[in-house]
Amino acid sequence: MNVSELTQVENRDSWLAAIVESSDDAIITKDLNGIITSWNQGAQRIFGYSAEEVIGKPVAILIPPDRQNEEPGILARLRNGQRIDHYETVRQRKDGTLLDISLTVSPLRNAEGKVVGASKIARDISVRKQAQRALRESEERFRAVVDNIPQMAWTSTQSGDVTWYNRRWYEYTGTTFEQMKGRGWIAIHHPEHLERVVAKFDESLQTGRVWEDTFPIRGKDGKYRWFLSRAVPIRDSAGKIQLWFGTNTDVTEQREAREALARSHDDLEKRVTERTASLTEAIAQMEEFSYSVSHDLRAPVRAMQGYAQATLEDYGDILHDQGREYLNHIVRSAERMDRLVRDLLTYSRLARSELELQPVSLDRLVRDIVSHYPEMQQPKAEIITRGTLHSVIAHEPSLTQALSNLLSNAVKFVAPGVKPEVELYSEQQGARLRLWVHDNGIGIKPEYRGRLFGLFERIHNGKYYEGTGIGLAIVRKSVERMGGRVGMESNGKGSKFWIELPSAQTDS
Amino acid sequence: MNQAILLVEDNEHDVFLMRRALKQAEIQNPVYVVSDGEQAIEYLAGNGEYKQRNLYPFPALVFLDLKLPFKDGHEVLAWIRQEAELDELVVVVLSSSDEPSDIAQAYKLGANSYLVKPPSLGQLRDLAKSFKWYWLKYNQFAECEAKGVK
Repeated sequence: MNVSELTQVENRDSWLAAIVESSDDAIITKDLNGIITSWNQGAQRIFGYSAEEVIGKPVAILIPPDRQNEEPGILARLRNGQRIDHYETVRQRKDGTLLDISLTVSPLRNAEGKVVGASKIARDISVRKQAQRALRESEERFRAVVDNIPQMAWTSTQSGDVTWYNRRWYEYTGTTFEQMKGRGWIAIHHPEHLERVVAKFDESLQTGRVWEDTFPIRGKDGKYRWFLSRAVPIRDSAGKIQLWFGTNTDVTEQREAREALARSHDDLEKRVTERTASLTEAIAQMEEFSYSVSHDLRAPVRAMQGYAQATLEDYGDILHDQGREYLNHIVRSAERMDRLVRDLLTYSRLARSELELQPVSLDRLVRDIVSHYPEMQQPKAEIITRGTLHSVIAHEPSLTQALSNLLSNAVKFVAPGVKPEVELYSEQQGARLRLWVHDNGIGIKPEYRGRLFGLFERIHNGKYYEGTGIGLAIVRKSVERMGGRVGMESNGKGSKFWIELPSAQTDS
Repeated sequence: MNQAILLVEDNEHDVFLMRRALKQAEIQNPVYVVSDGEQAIEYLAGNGEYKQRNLYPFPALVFLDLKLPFKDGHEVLAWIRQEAELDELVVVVLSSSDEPSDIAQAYKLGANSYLVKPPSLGQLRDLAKSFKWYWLKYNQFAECEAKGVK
């Protein structure tokens, strides 16, 4: 060997030493007794010991107490000249913390080829191990969550073979994974729906679009329940479908509720139709009845009145006073009877007729009414209006009827010898107009006011005040039919009746 | 010449009271009475015995009740108004009914007037008097009879 060759050998040795020193991995040599003989920079970085601290010490100081039994096995294999490749295990740092490493151990031989020690390359794999653990934990968490949701859930491959079901699936179906894996789920689908379900599922697998369908699935009790089913594709970063995640939500109760609702709706519709028919019939009968009353009931009354009157006229002079008195009673009773029938007809007509509402001027209406009734005019009575009465939305004939009744009551119920004085005024009450009719009559005791607007209620003595007991009932019925209200106040000095109807003023 | 009045009325009491009221109102016109809708049409058309116009003269005015046997007053009215020759016959509906539907229909079918039978003899007499004043004294009747209704 010449000088230049020697220089080459020296150069190569320092070269290799540089490579060993610069490696990220720990490169350690030990003898067959497990005593450390060399220790590179990588080893110092990974384990925390310096070369001076560990050379000459047993390699066992790097092994955690629970793995001390690994070393004799490793040494035995080395003595037999065997190599250990990428053995994943756990080692301990100087500070006592553990780390995951991948270990490659090779036997070192002397010039005779005898094994005298070992080189150990340890790679820190704690980061990779950590990632694997995190992945496993996250998967366990996912399973735990999905096992406890009320829905059934599953995953399938991108071709639709189911690889996993959650616990709820097994609880409901009473099946095992062996029965259900792949397309085993076909067995518990309803035969009438299966073809459609499979076709739609396959279509989603093909197109990658979200799958949604509603169909029955058989439970372990043999009964079917309805499920709303959905599956979404889970893609990798390149957009390729990795798997499908699906759920089946029990919608049996919603479906039943919806069907019950539809049934009860149909029932209701039917009942309404029936009621409407019977109501229509009742109205028709009522109309027939009124017609008959109008035409037939009044004829005999008219005859009674007429013959009594004729008897009085033709034979009055040959009758005694008492006979004439009796006939007069017949005449007056018949007249009263006719008025009753007429008022009743008016009342029943109000209840059944359609009322067309439009603006009506109260000032004009009052003038018209007063001009029709001499008993409301001077000198018999005085009806004055304070200010403008304005207009209301009403059915004019009905309002005329109501107001005529109120005014004729106002001029009728006065104490003997008193001239009736009636004052009319109106006040705006929001969107409504209240018309007051204030008289100077005998008033109404508070205890009778509740009965005032009832049918056939008479609260004055018929001996002194004529009336059928229908007048105020007509007032109330007609005003209510027009969407209004009626009422009265009495403070001892006459009565104050009011009618309230929607105002015709647009600026109110 | 006193033209005839035809009273179409099925209630004999109303006939009595009406005759009496007309008489008390000093209406001299002869009053002929038929008691149902069919007879009224026969009378006006001059069918059967009503051909004899010396016995059953064609009226200048008809008082027509609404509720009648066979054909009711509205039907009689409709028949009258579709007969060209009876166009100008004065028809006064005289009914117990003050139902707005009855009144509206009567006018629609061509009634000249609609009177509600008053409840007392006194009022009926007043009605007959005012009626005489307007319809019989001053109203110029068209000469229906002269045209000869078949």
